Amino acid sequence: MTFPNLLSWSLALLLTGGTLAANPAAESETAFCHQDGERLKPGNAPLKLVVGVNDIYCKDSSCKCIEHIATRQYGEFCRKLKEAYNIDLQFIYFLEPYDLDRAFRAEQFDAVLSKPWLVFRHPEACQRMVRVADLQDLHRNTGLWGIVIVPKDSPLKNLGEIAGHRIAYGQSDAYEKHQGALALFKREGITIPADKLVEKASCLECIDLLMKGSVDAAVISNYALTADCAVDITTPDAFRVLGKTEEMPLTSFMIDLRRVSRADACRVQQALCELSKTELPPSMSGGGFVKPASWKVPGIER
Amino acid sequence: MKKLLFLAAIMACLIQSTATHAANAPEYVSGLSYGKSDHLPTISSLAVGKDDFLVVAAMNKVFIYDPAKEQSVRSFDSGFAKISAVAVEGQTIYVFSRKTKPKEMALNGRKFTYEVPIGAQCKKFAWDGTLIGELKLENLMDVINAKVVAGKVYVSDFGGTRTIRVFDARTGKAMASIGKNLRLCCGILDFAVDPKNEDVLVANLGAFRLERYSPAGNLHSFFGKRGDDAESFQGCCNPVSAAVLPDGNLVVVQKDPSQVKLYTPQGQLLFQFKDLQELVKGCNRVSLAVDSRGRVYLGVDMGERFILQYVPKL
Repeated sequence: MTFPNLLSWSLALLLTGGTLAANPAAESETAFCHQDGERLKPGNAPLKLVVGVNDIYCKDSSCKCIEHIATRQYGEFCRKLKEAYNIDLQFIYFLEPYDLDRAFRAEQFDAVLSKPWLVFRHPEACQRMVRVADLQDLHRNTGLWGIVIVPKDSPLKNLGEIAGHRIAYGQSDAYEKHQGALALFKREGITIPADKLVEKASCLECIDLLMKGSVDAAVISNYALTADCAVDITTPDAFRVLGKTEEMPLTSFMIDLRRVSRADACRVQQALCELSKTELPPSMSGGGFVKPASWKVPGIER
Repeated sequence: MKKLLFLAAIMACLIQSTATHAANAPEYVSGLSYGKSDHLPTISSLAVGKDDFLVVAAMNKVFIYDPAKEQSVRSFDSGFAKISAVAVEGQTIYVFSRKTKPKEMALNGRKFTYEVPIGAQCKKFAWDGTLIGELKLENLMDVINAKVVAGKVYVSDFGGTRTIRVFDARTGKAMASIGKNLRLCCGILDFAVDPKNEDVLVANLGAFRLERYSPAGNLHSFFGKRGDDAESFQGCCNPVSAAVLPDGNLVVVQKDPSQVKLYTPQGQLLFQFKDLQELVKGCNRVSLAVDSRGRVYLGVDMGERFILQYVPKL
């Protein structure tokens, strides 16, 4: 190990309480959890975190088309968090996930509140980011998955029948409708020739192609027909769902352990979940934060 | 060896051609800002009229700007509570407004009011602001943008047919309906008319494409996709507006994140406006106009409302 490497490792170990590489069992787990024998003592000193936010149900980071659905506002919640727990969350809102991604890669944040794949698709981020809490939507759901849809009058009746047909699906920055879709097809023994797979960056483009008959099926995010611009274009009744991809967390509060100690990460986790349980303001539109579900990023090791 | 030299020559030609193209690519720089001292209310539409004077619709009023001056030279009340679009041909100013009625709706236990379009109105004014008369547009349900080119009125019928409808500017008789399978959202449907051939360019924002239709309504070509690269469009749905420059190139506008880019008619990116300030926040329209000298005008609707000019760099 070269001296600069040794220095950066030493610094990382010092900043993270010496645990980054200490627990091989948690190597691909993204959820923050206590490690064997670990005793964290969260303090009460003022803690200020700069947080990059892209939450599909938040009024400040969503499209006007769904303003009646995306009603969540964090102002009151953050005020209570500061008063009761001395934790000051400075939210910076992003309507465009690409912009949040750029800012995240430029290391502008102590924490990120977004779809976890935005963070964990970067291998280097897997070394330092942990999910301390998941956020519930309006229906207390914390999951995100892809759905395989066909037009209501399509001759395709079940998932297996899509083999060999033209499929529009997401790009690799959208796990639930790209990697998740490919994994689903593989699991079900469905073969789609490469020239019949059409990659699109947005659910809207996939739905557009499906409605025009340019493809026979599309893989879109599970919320796309109810909480996305697609609500202006079509309705869920116009389609049948033939299958769903594996479930992953929809929105997580993720902390950078290179900038925040494990003790403080633990403190933020406790505060987010406790406040959500006891004094959640109605402006949070839903159930607030809960402890993170286990989610291991396939193919990426810490 | 000969083959190598031949390949090298081809490569050199390619490099030379790329460099030449880059050198010829248009560049724009920011110019004047109009309307700051007029304390403009919400800007709904821009048009260019006589002598390249800028015509701005803001709430109930129409403001006229000399392109050389940042303050309006005159303004007049349209008689509408809210103007939705303004267009100019010759010395006639066409002012449009939507007729709506409130409809109560409920979702997830929340009640909200939605304004449902039930018709469209059009008044014609002389260049000095004198009312000339009204124009009844046949069976039109809505109007959120409008242009008048070569004796034809083009309007965005967002709440009705969700197409661009074309009318005779003299009689108001319906002539054509343009735009197929448009994926419209955010209450936005904007377009441009190419004065050279009367093609209609529609910002199909839900499909992340700019589409070119013939005057008869046939889809000729399109370009665009969602993506993180410079050529592509970002945000929840974009682009939102377009205009045709005198040389035939296109100005294409993205709302949030705000971007203005120049493309060839075939969709090749030529230039992106640098240091552009945020034009609007979230899902809002961006008003756009270009004049005979290729100057670009953009409505800014942030804390302050004004019109931003970009001029070709000489």
